[in-house]
Amino acid sequence: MKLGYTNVKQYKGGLPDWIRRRYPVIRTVNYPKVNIPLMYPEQVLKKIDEVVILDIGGEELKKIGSFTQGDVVHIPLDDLEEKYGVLPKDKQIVIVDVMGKQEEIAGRFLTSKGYKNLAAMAGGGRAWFMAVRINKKVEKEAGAKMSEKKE
Amino acid sequence: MKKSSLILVLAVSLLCGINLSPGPLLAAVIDIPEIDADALKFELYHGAPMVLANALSPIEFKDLTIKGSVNIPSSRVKGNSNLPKDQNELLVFFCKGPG
Repeated sequence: MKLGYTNVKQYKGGLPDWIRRRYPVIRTVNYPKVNIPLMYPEQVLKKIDEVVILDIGGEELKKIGSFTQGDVVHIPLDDLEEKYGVLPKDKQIVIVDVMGKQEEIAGRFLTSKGYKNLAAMAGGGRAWFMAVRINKKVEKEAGAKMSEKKE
Repeated sequence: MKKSSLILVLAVSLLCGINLSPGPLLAAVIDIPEIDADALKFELYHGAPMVLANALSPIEFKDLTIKGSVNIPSSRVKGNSNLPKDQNELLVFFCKGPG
């Protein structure tokens, strides 16, 4: 069967469904309730030399694209608790996951560890990869126009 | 990785919204039976010993989880010490649900 287990089930409703029903939940760490400001990919591109991009998307994000720009640190969210220490505190950190859904909790965790200059990529990795592609296309077209003018 | 091992790992991945390619393994994963909230609540608090596994990250697990659950992140299923010792024991996975 599954890893040898004979009685495996899935609770598809998950945590949101359990909370909705007011069934018992437990919190073992109180991460600060802070709003991590959103940065749009275009804004990140303009500041690309000043920020560190933190990719928490792991294998799932790798499937949809690869980072070709900027200073990028890859730490899947599952490993962030153990590996966050490699992140600098003197630069702005822009957190990226696949769809932007886990950036807030990663930001709250990093805030609890003393990181103050944080941002969350609006739209996550999907939006970032698209913005990079568009930016490259625009730069290429601008380069081509410049060459035409010179000729 | 054996096919059986892969199915459990993929099951957790699928449950947590990770996209999989269509194929026989995906079909096997979809076949994993569901349990609803009321049945789960009964089994967890009044039934036989079972393991309720939160497949989210350790950070998300500590932030909020179902009382009585343990953490088995989707990337760390195989060999996880929170898996039940008795392989016939009920093992239920959950994460953030659909959407």
